[in-house]
Order: sequence, then C-alpha cells, then structure tokens
Amino acid sequence: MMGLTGSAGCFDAILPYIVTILLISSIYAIFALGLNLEWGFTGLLNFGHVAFFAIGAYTTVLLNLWGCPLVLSIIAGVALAGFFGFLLGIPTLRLRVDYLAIVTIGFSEVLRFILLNEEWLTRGPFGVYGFERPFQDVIPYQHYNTFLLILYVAILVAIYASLERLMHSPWGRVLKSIREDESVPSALGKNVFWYKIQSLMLGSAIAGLAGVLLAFYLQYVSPATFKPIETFHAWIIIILGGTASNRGTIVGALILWTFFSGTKFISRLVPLESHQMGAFRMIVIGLLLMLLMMYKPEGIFGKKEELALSD
Amino acid sequence: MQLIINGLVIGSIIALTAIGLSMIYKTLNFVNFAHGDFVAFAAYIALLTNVAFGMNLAVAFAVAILATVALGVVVEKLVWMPMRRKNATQTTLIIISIGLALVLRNILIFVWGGDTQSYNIPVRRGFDFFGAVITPNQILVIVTAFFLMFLLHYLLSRTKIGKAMRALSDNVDLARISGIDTDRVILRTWVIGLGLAAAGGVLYGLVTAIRPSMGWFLLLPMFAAVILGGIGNPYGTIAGGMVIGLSQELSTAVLPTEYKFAVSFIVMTIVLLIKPEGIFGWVR
Amino acid sequence: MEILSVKNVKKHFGGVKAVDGCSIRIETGTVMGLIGPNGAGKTTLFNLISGFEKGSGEITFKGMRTDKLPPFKIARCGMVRTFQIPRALSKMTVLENLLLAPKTQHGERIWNVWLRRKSVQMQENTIKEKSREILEFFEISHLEDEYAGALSGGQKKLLEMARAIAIDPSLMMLDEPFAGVNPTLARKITGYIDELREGGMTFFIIEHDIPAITKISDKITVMSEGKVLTEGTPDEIRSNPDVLNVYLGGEG
Repeated sequence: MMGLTGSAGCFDAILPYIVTILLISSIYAIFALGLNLEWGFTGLLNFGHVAFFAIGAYTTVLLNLWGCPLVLSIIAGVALAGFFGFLLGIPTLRLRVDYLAIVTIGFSEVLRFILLNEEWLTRGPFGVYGFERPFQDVIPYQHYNTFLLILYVAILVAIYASLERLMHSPWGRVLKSIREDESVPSALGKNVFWYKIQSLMLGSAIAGLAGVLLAFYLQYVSPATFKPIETFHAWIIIILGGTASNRGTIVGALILWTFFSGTKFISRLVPLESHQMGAFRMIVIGLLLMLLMMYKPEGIFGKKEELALSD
Repeated sequence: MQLIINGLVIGSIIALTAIGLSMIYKTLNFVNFAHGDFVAFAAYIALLTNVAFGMNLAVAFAVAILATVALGVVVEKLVWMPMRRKNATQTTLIIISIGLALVLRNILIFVWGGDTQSYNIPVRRGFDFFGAVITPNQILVIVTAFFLMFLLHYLLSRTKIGKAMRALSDNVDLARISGIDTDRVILRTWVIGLGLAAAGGVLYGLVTAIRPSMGWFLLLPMFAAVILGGIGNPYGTIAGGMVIGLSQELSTAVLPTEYKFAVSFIVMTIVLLIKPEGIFGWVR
Repeated sequence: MEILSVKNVKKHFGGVKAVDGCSIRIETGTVMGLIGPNGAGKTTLFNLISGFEKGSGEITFKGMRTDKLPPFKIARCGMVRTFQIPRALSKMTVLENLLLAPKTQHGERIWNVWLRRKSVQMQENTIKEKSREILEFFEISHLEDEYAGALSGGQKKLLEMARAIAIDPSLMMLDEPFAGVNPTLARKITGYIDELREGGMTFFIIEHDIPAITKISDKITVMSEGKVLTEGTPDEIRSNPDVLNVYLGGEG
C-alpha cells in the first residue's frame, strides 16, 4: 500500500518535468519543421531561422499589449513572420549557398540588435510580459501547462500532417528537384525562384507560429531568448532526426530537449557550476553536430539516397 | 578624429584576422564559421600565459600563435582532410564548422567562465593626437598588424610557398596536375591563416574586454571584409578590413553604438548584391 | 513554317568570342543537326537559345522574341533542352523525374494541394499513366522505382530524353544524345527521333557522331569558332571540303 502511494507521489513530482519537456519539444519541433522545409526539402541554407521565431513572438505579444485581440495578434505574428521571410528572400535567394548562409545569419543578428535597442518599441533588454494567453481566464492555473501541451501537440500534428501532404504533392516534387539541381526544373519550365520564396515564406511563418507558442509558454519574451544558437538548435534537430524527414525532426526535438533537461538533473549530482554545465551541454551539441555531419549525415530517419549532402 | 583612430585600430585587427578566413575560403572552398572562435582562443591562451603564468606579453603572443596554429593543424588532420577525401559538399563543411565553433567557444566558457577578463599589463596613459587620445596599446596593435601584413606580402610574393599558395588559390585542379602537393599547401594555408588570426586575436585582447563571444562578434565584420576584398585576395581583404573598421567606428557618429555591426552587415549585403567579386578585387 | 529563328546572336566571355554572330532558321517538323569541332560554340548556342545564357542578337521562337526571357519561361513556350552530361535528378526515382516534367500541373500551386484535392489527384493519375507510356516507349519501365542515381550512363541518357518528351515540347534540343552510347541504343534513339518527328516534333541536335547525325537530319548546320560555317542537306555537308578542313584542322 505504502509502495503504491509512494510511487504515485513520485510520479506527481516528475509529471511537471515531463510536461515541460514535452511542451518545449513540441515548440521546437514546430520551429524545426519550418527549417526542415527550407533546408531538407528545398536545399536553402538558412542560418537566420531564429529571426522569424522572434518576429512571431514579438509581434503577437506587442500587439496584444497594445489592445489587439489575441486571435488577431496571433494571426498577425505568423503572417508578419512569413512576410519577413518573403522580404529576406527577394534579394538573397539569388545568392549562392555560402553567401546565403552569411547573409541570413547577419539578418538574424541585426534583428536582435534592433530588438535590444529600440526600447520604445520592444522594451529592449527588459523584455515583454503581461500579455494575454489563450483561455487563461477559463483554465485554472495549475492545469494551464497541461492545457498548453494538449493544444501544442494538436498544432504540431496538424502542421506535420500538412507538411507531409505538401511534400508528397507535385508542389513538393518541384521543391525536391530544386534542392538537387536548379537547372533541371528551370529547363522544364518551373519558376525556381518563386518556389524558393514560397518555401522560405512558409518555413518562416511556421517558425513565427513556434515563436508565438514559446511566448505563451514562457509568459515573457526578450531578445536574449532569440540568439543565433536557437537557429542551430533547429539545425541539430533536423540533422539528428534525418534531413527531409519530418518524423525525424519531431523525434530529434524530443531527444534534444530530453538531453537538455536530463543534464539539468545530472548537474545536481556533479560538482560543476551552472555556466560550466551549460557550456558542457553545448560542447556535446557541437561535437554531435560535427560527428553527425562527418559520419552519419542522414541522421536517424533520413534516407541516404535522398541526401544532398555529399557528392 | 577619435573615431578615425578607433577605426584604424579595429580595422587592422579585422584585416589581420580576416586574411586567414579569406585564404581558407578560397583554397578549401568553404566558409569557416569557426574562424572567429580560433581568434578568441588565441586571446585566451595569451591571457593564460600572461595572467596565470606571469609571462610578459611578447611571450604570451608567441605562445598564443603556436597554440592556435597547433589546434588548427589538429583539426585539419582530424576533420577537414578526411572530409576532403570523402568529397564532402560545401554545405557539409559549413555545418561542421558551426559545430566546431560551438565546441571551441564553449570550451572557453567552460574553463574561463563568461565574465570579461583582461591581460595583466600596466595601464598606460594615452597620447594626445590631433585632438584625440591614442593609447600605446592602440599604437602597438596598428604597428604589429601592419608589420605582419608586410611579412605576409613578402611571403606571398617572394617565396616558393607563397607562389604555390597563389597557384592553388587560382585553380585547384590545375595546381594539382602541375605536381603541387595540395595537402601540404593547404596545411601551410591553415598555418599562415590561423597564425595571423591568432596574432589578431591577441591584439584584439589588448583593446577590448576578453569574452568568449568576442570571436563570434568579429565574424560578421570579417566576412564583410573578405567579401569586400574579393575572396582569396589577401590584399583586398586588408583594404576591406580597414574600410569596414573605419565605417563601423565612423557610423557611431550618426547611429547608436550598438548598430556598429549592422553597418558591416549592410555593406556586405550591398556588395554581394551588386558586385559579388568584391570591390577591391583589383588590389593585388 | 519556321519554328525557331536565330539572328546574329553573340556571346563573349571576356576576350573569348564563344558565339560570334550566328544566324540559323529551323522549320517545324524537321531535324536540324549542329556539328563542329570542340569549342566551336555549339553548347553555348544552345544555352543562349534556351535562356541559360544571355547575349546579344534576336531569338524568335514560335513567333515570339525569347532572347530576354528567363529559361523557365522559354521552356514553357514549348522548348526543351537536354544537357551534354545528363542531369538526372539522382535523389528522386525515375518515375518522379518524369512526373516533374508536364506543364500546368495544378498540384504545383501550393494552395491547390488543399483546395482542389480531387482535381490534383486526377491529374496525378493521368500524368502517371502518360509517364509510364513514355517509359515503355524507351523500354526502361522496369526502372520506374529506382533512384535515378543508380542508373547507368546510357540509361540516364534515355531518362533525360524521356523527361524532355514528357513535357510535350514543340522543339526538342538535344545536346549529344549519342555520346558514349552503344550502337544498339543509338539505333533505338534514332528510331524514337524519327517516330516523334513523324508526329510533328522539331529537333535541333548537337552531335559529334557524324554518321548518326547525317542519317537522321533533314538539314545540318556547321559551326566553327563561334560562327556558322555553312548549312545544307547532309549530302551537301558531306561533300563540302571546308567542313572537312575545319574538322581536320581543328582537332589536330
């Protein structure tokens, strides 16, 4: 009898952690799915993905704080993220791969500087809080995270299903051909540039949505939440899970955040300071990225034949 | 005037460190995102030598360069060379370099923490110069940087190694057929490029606070300098670096200081869109 | 009736005059061969006509000026070209390679994937059937689900042609279709070209294999050093001493 209630109590203690891990994994899974569309399926080397994470989050919370109804704010956030994807794409998608990488990273850093400095707009480094969250008046506080989890997983499934449908459609076929060799779809009459823009826009909008979801979970957004490292979290998720595999991306997100949370547990046992634990985590991530790319670039679920990563 | 001095200082640092990035870019055909962190690594090794072991700055300088070059050689043997054998694509190498950047930077955080540090050297007063102040450190940076760049010029134009490097950077396949041992030349490119970058890193530590992210922050201006000067053109990179450094500092006259890096980004993007071969391509 | 007209087209790469004032006319439903020594500018001319390179001069296709249009727009007008080294999309299956080709697929517009689901599905089925017919025509049906990267060189060449046909073009520009291809396969390809020409398709073919090209062409253009040397029927070309000179002199 004692054993049962004891283990039930233990479960209650762990449950919030599990909910947290699943919540963050869903958010990052959505974020990474957007990148997977751009890189895995279209071959666009976008190192500035975090910018759209930020645009979605900031737009929604700021609009909401200024009195805009929540639903509209959310739509605006996602739409603006997609629109900025379009803006970024117009001048840069004609550049070659390496230049695109540099320019996109510059873009996300400049955006972060703007977020930091234009305090009249974004409250600068102090961040934004106090905005509404969906149904926050209806759901009791202690269950709110569970509600979010159910909501976010539902959204994740919807996005996953949509992307899968897209990638198996003729539209997806054109993207895949662009990924490998632009001249072929071009010679067959496809407007390659326009498809790249569409891919970037959609991927950015998805990232924006993820940003909105992150804002609701954290109840606070600040420029520090949107450093370039977040882009590379998404990168490692999609590479680990298998480039161009949406299923793999979701699994990758889960693995990454379980790892992060797991190391938080360990840090209580190991005599390392917090900054060292953080650094250790990132060293593992960096090594993992290197080793994956060197020896198993198809990740867990990727297909070797489908890889556009080595000649 | 003060801005011009600051611009010259940071410009020479950018120029010095970016040369390596440019040369590697051209020879190995990929963007090494870890380059900035090698620069930071050098600064930290100098810090270690100077503060922990109490050596003077000149010794620290030498040790930092040696250590950074050694690290670069190890990475070349363990990572880049096997990838070349496998014919890895440019994108693969870029992503690997991102991973490497993460590892390096976080090793620095792990060992030294995220706080700012500085060398243990006497603080000296600056001189008055046309109404602005220039410190001895700043003078040291500019002089050393230019001295090294001059050495590089000598190396590239007079010696056999230099000629081989230029041949390789012009056309890899042709160089290989002409009997040049590409692996050796690539190794030498790393050595020289990272050596210069390390020197730049130590000098950088003289004029700014040493933090783990210092290298990453230098990366965008370095890219801008490389592109401005034309990839693979060391002299163009030097010109580009000076221009970027000056424009960054001068921009603070009209823009808030935090937007300095936005300047390099904007300059770089404009150049890429209009004349991707670089503006200073003719500087040879 | 004229389908393609090229007037005084030029393309210079720095000091090199790759194409230096070429003028060619091709009649609908004919096969025009293009021969000349290496470096004569044949592929560059193809690139200029199909829009992959831009130069000066006038190019008119089916009565429309195309020299300023991007390649995909020119392709949509009904012109398709193959590449000297086949560009099979190796990470996609053979069937997928073909399914990419047909024009005006509703499913290629992103919103139609949801809004016109049925119509998209029906179209998919139609083009799948057509693609399978083309694969059968080229006798590579058994490779339908293979990744194109696993194909042999000759099979890739066939795939390249099959894909070009799947777009249902009016003008097919083939860049060395017989290169590196064994005689049996070459005869097959000649047969296909004949059949398609009967059906009204026009061909413009670069080739080095002189016997093959003289057999199937109605007319042949000879290029040398970026210019058109001469033009005529296969017999006229065969007996033209200048042509012989250009080959013997040029290839040493």
